[in-house]
Amino acid sequence: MALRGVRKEYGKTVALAGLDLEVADGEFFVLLGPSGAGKTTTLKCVAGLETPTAGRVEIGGRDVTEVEPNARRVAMAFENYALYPQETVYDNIAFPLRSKRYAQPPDVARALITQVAGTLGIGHLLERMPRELSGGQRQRVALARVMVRPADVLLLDEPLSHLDAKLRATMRAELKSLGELQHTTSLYVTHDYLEALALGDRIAILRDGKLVQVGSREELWRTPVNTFVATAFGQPRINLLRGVIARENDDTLFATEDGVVRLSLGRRDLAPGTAVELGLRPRDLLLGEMPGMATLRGQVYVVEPLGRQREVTVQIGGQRVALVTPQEDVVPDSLVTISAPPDRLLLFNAETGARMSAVGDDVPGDATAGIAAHG
Amino acid sequence: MAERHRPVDDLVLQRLTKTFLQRGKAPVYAVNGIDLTVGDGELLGLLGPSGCGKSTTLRMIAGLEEPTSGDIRIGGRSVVGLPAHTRNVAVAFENYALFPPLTVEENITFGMRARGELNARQRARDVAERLGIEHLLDRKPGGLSSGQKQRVSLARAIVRTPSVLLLDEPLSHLDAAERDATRRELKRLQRETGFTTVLVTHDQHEALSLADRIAVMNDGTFQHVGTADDVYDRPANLFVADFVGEPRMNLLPGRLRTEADGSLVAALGPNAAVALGRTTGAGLDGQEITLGIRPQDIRVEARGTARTLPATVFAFEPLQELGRLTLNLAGTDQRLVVETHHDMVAVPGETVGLQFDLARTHLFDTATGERLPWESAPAPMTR
Repeated sequence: MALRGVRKEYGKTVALAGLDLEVADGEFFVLLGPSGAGKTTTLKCVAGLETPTAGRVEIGGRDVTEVEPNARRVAMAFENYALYPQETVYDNIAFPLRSKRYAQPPDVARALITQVAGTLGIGHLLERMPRELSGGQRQRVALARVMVRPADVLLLDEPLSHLDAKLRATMRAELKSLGELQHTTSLYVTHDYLEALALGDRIAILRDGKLVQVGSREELWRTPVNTFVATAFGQPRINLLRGVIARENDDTLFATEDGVVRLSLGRRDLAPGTAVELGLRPRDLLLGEMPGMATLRGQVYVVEPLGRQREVTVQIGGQRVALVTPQEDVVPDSLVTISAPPDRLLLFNAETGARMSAVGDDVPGDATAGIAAHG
Repeated sequence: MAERHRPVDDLVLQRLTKTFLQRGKAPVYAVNGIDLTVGDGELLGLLGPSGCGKSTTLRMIAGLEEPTSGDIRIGGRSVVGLPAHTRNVAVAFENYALFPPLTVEENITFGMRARGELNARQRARDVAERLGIEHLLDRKPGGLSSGQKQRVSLARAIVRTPSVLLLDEPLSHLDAAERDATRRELKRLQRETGFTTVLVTHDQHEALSLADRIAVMNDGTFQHVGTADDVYDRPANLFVADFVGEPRMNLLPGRLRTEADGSLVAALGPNAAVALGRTTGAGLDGQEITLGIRPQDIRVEARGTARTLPATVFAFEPLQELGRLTLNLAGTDQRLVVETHHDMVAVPGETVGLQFDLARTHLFDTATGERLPWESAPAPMTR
């Protein structure tokens, strides 16, 4: 499945600003973005419920831009799982099979429905009415209805967003187990980064109708193209420490304005005076001084218990850095040293937000060589 | 910042009860005889699902609702029956409740000016500075972000130097970034100002993070009152075990069995038994129990041994640094979740062995839901 330069305008509003996207056969592809990013519009263009203002939609190498929705072999599950209230769960699931296009012999249809319902854990509910079901069960019925259709592409629009947090986690695992069974080409829309990480073979980050980055979870996590992608994943969020590029003798430094932090970057291609942000993931940081690591010194601002671990926020000059540690003896107001693995440091241009390639990128072999503490 | 110089402001609730009468029906106990002491300067988190009675409790302390029975004492003095404004209790509400036509400063000083208090402006300025909103004093609430509005609401509450500060879901309307920053500032602020504080929240992360102690509430009663570590590591019953913790605790029904050598086994299925060893204080032979274990406290071994529990991989979800492995316990229809490293290789259908950390294994009486205190006793005991 592919989108080629797909643009969608509603009057003067540009919902999609020329989207290029390829989803491989059998791939589970996730579109992640905040509301209003254009995720659902993208799905609708693939489903044929919206016609792009410009560009092409291809399924199986065939241009389907002008093809009617029901001739596209696309199945779509909506966020609001509209079930027919006066029909049983079985009949709701069977509904797509009633149309001529998907008609099956009754015993084949029954076997298919029973199998799909069983996989989704609603096999015992087939004779019930929708009103007798919980929200999560209804969600599964809606999914079952989509899955009984023979489709080349499965489109899923925030299928878990109506569930409470605990059921959402359970259903996410259910979906994951199904995804691996099914290997159906799928386009899955969500605003929840955990869903994206858990389910996506690849993930596309969408913002204001444009693709910001497409990649595997590792790529998005370790080499985000900008601060938008960097902050889209992770709880607690990535720390972004504001500073400037400075030059000292032969050394290039990251320095905060108040001079409290001075880290050697071991690179020569950065213009002094450039305003930058240093990205530090809270779970990459360690308390204490570790050899070969970049170090920052500060004063503990607060300590928050987080189940088995502690979330520690450290005041470093005028800024704060959060980290997660199993250490239990951290006390507010105490002076601490934070160590950061140099290959995990991310540097962004403060003005554009764009990543200036990983700090250790130009020192292959020994990523620690260029980093020295000037705490 | 106003220095605190005043008598001890502890808050005591005694058999506090609130019932709502419905025509032709039995009365509904919104709050059912709760007892609680919040020490001077302590931050107590009132944690529970919606409808558990936590908001009614807060409203009774504030004087917005009168208890049906029981007592509320602040600094040793009963405040039941006293009008809300004479209790010296301040509330920062979830929806901020700011006056749109007034400036931020006028909002903060509103109550003080109504009472004709002196230095209102200066005190507003001090509090605003402390909360980092001094540059907003002349603005109207309409143009502020949710986080800024929350700070204004907080400033208005603490500028009065209340005996008791009540925070009603203070972070629920903030986006993730603002919530983290505001939560940490709130924690710091409370620590520094030392107001006796009750925080009402449905968000366990918020409660664990902020509270000195947490009261977990359900059905109008306290299920567990304790520190964050206490509630997390020694939950008093099944409700607390299930409600606190993310990912949630695995709760596996089974039955206790005493082996010939006197050691205890939790049988979770025909072929799924957890050897608890020789124990002290556990339940009885044949007792129906629910075994609780958190996803962080299970080790997965690729090759099962006689000492591990066989399970098959259902799904693996890589998440940031961690991964979440869902498994089916062999020979049962029970499913459990294990937290692993994010790049673990787990093939659905594959069989692995599970090892439970016994020091972190909880037992609950299935019938009553109560925690069964037990400890593994590694050294053989003499009888």
